[in-house]
Amino acid sequence: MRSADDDLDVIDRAAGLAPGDPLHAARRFRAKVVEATEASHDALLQQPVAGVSTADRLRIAAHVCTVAGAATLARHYEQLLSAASARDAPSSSPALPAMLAFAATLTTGPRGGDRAALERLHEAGLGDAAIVALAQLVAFLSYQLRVVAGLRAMRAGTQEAAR
Amino acid sequence: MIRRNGFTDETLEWRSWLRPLQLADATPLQLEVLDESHPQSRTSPYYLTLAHQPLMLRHRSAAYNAIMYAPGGLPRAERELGAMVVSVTNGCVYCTSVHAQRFEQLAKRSDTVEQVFDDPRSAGTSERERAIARFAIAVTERPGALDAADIAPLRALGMGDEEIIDLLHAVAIFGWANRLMQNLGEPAGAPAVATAVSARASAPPEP
Repeated sequence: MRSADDDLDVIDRAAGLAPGDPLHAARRFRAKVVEATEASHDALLQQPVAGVSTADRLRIAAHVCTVAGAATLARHYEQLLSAASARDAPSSSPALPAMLAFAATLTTGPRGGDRAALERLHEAGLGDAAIVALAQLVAFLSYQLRVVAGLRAMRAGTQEAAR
Repeated sequence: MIRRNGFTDETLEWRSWLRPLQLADATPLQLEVLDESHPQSRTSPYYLTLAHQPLMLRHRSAAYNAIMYAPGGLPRAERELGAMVVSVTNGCVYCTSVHAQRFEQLAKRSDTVEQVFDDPRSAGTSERERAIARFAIAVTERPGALDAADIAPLRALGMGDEEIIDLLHAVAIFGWANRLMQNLGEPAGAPAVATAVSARASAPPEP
């Protein structure tokens, strides 16, 4: 049986939307976008990638959201990391500092990337497929945190109008 | 043809800094995802680079195509305007060239494109275009500080929740697309453009 929680995805939760809210319904006007966004989140975190564990991807995601000021999403990734750590206490890769540095630059200054940044990831031991996975994750987070921020602003406007 | 501030609406190439997938090495899943992503993806260095992670590409393409091409809601030319403003704001010369062309095809005019290349902050041939451009810049530059005051101008123009969400999606997904295009490779094209492009791309981010 489906519970009400089945109708809440990561973006709804981070934006504070609940089933029955007009914005929750308005998002479903683009059901394909909602589904593909949630499927991206899951694939980016869970697809096996040589050299980049799910736990390290969660550490990177939490860091990116913190750097970008996306507090509710940062908590989401921290909670997933706590749950993963409780299962198998995953250690972090020696390449994690290089990945975190790449992620922070990509998040705050999309113009700041250059070929040397990818070379540093290669030197840290990542192959091309791992670099694609890392870049996709970080670039997706820039999208996800903006969707959440926009929905929160829309929700704030609705609440102001209702007062 | 429009060339201003290092941006152009001419067709550019894009060169990957990684080794794109070779079709001879592609798995059936990689070929399937390439074909569902874009009609020319088998010859595109960008898609062949992303195809190293086929399931990540599959869901990205599904989101992108639904956001930019689905019927109804916000007119497609206005989604392209949002995409173009974000790409100029982020300094993504390649994405800007593609979405300037799409805007021109859909709107059947290029006056707005010239304005966006000159200064996206004041661009727009109507109050509605100006509001879309300003919203796109706000979402791009200060997502952590968006509030009701950023939505109010869109509401005042009669936009409903579904149209505003369409615009938000189009603007946000260019935060995704620009970062891949700008950090996994670089644009290439006519020599004059390439020179202007590298001058622009190496400039520090504006405050």
